[in-house]
Amino acid sequence: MADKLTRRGFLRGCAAGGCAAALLPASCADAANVPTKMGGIWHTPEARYYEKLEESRVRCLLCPNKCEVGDQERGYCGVRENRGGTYVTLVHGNPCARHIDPIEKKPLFHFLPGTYAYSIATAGCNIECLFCQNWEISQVRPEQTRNYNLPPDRLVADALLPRSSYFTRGAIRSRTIAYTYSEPVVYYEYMYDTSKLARQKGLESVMISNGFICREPMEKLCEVLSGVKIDLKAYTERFYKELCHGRLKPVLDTLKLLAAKKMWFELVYLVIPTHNDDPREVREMAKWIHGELGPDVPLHFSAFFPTYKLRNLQRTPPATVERLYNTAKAQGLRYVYVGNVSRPGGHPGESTYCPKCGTCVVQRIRYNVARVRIRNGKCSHCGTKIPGVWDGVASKS
Amino acid sequence: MSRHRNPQFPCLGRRELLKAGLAAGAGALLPAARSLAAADKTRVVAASSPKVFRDERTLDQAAVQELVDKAVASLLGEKDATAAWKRLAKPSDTVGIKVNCLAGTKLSTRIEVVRAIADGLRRAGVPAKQILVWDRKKGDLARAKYPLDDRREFRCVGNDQVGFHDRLILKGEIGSLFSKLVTHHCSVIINVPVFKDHDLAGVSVALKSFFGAIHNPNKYHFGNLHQAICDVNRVRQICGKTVVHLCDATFGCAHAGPTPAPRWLERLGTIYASRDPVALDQCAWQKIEALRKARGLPPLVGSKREPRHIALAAKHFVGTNDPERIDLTTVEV
Repeated sequence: MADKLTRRGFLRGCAAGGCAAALLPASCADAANVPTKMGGIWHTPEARYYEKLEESRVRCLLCPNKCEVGDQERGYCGVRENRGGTYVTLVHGNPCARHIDPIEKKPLFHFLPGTYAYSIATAGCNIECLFCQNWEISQVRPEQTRNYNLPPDRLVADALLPRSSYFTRGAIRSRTIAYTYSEPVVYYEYMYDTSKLARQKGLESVMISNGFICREPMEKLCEVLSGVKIDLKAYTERFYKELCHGRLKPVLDTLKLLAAKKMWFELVYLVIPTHNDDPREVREMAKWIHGELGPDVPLHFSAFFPTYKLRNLQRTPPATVERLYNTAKAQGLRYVYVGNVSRPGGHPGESTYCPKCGTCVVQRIRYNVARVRIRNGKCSHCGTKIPGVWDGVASKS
Repeated sequence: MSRHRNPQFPCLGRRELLKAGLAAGAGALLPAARSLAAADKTRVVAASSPKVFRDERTLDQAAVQELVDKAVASLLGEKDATAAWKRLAKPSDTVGIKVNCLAGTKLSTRIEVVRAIADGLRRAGVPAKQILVWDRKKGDLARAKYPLDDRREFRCVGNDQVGFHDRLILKGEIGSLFSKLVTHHCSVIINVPVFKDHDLAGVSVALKSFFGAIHNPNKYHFGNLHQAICDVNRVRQICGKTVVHLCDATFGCAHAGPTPAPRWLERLGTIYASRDPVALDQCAWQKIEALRKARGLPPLVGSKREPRHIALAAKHFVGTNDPERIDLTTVEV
């Protein structure tokens, strides 16, 4: 190519490039260079889902913690503050992380495979898992993170721009905005407003959450989301209480709600040695999933590595993850996966198989999709419907 | 008590440790020595003066100065207040005055009290630039009307300005990042909490005040609150550096705290001083119970809000809550 380029052609190209750059919409140029600031909090709109109590106190109704918060105090999440009896959110338009990730990294395996998600997070979380992998942002306040000034309109404009990342070859356009890394429930208003706007611009929205949210806000959120991933930490209240400072029942209620709303969702179960790796417990959980949510809900077993306050344990042995994978499969769940288990050429448990003919319909190697054999939501070999969001529309078998 | 502390027992001074060891040894041998050991009590001084009130809401700086000096001198058994301040800090020290400014001007550590402490430290030779008045946020200090830009007497700093040390400190129930003011900048800390009721902890005085030193206090306001309060005070960076606790009880509240409710505000005109935060909290709690009784309110003891962190802290040797071992001295100025 270079030997065909004349001097005149080169100059013409430069001039055209300069003009194009000058004529780019201002919003796009601004969005590409989003200012950041340590502890930057630019927007503090009033929070939704709370009630006012006497003596300037408020009760938050967003998550099952239902924090009662005095004036100038914050809820358990650390990002919602009572200011003279008005509850405000400190993270609306102030994300502290934004990256382009493969959708498989969330992990969402039945949701537009091979596409990328513009992924954001703010500070804060409404539970505290001792094994949190992102505790540097989830267990701190927005003053303690470097934040972007990205209100919903700028965020959507930014997400629409082609971008390159560690995971991509060259610039690509994201198909989805993913609310992830920390806990999206605590930046509910930001997620809702952005998702609503994103849908108008042709972008899907997915929430990567612990599912610890009250029914009413979750119902409302279903109107603007296209997919959800829920971390089911364990299947015992004891685990939730002792290792997460949370509760299991509200999470199960959220899952039932998602199923009733026909929202596409997948589950992740982080296998922590000695804490939640008992096959009997997993068998009970798989039975519950099969009975209450159906056999088509994907369940990902993921290996743990020592971090945050749980550094005294070993990594989860691959054999343990594989044993639980087989346990869940034996209970009739059709789409069970393994994660965080390295194997040269990829682990067979990372791929999707047709439940009828056994064809590998989506072959994955870590976060990469090697091959897709799904046409119009059906196995290209036998025509069996594979549940998921394959072309922007959720389909269930 | 010496300011220098045994690293193995950071909650006890070297002198106290030796004293306790000797007393225990002697106590085992001689019945007479037992009474001697019992006589070695933790001191708490409650210095009061009606003269500190200029009117309903404001304080008289000179009277507050006299009150604070008297409390510190009495606590350390010195006749001269300057000599007492010299025992707390050296001219080379960087002194962090930990205030509690969550409640605006109505129920925060009063600026007059902080000025009196800073004055005492300057008389002891600590330069104004080495006196740091700090709390969680610069905004909290601003709302309590602290002079953020005037550095003649001291400097005001928020944790949000200096940040948190990036090493996670795990101690019992807590796993927190601590303010760099505690881990790096200050060699000595003077804790100046407010005398108040707390809707969850029962009372919020000396022990609870150090929630302002960690990055995630919101994570400990649930079932684990009392243990977390105790554990924050067990961290060496806190108990090893804090030389005295001076509770501002000029104004206080015995109900509806920690936010200020005008009808529950008490004008007490008192400064509590102690080197033992547990003993100070124990005395403050008893006073809060007395005030609640006088107002016809139910007691905290036995309720959901009983301040269990005081007994827990005593159990972990942060100090003593045994009334038999606390020498509460009342000083009228």
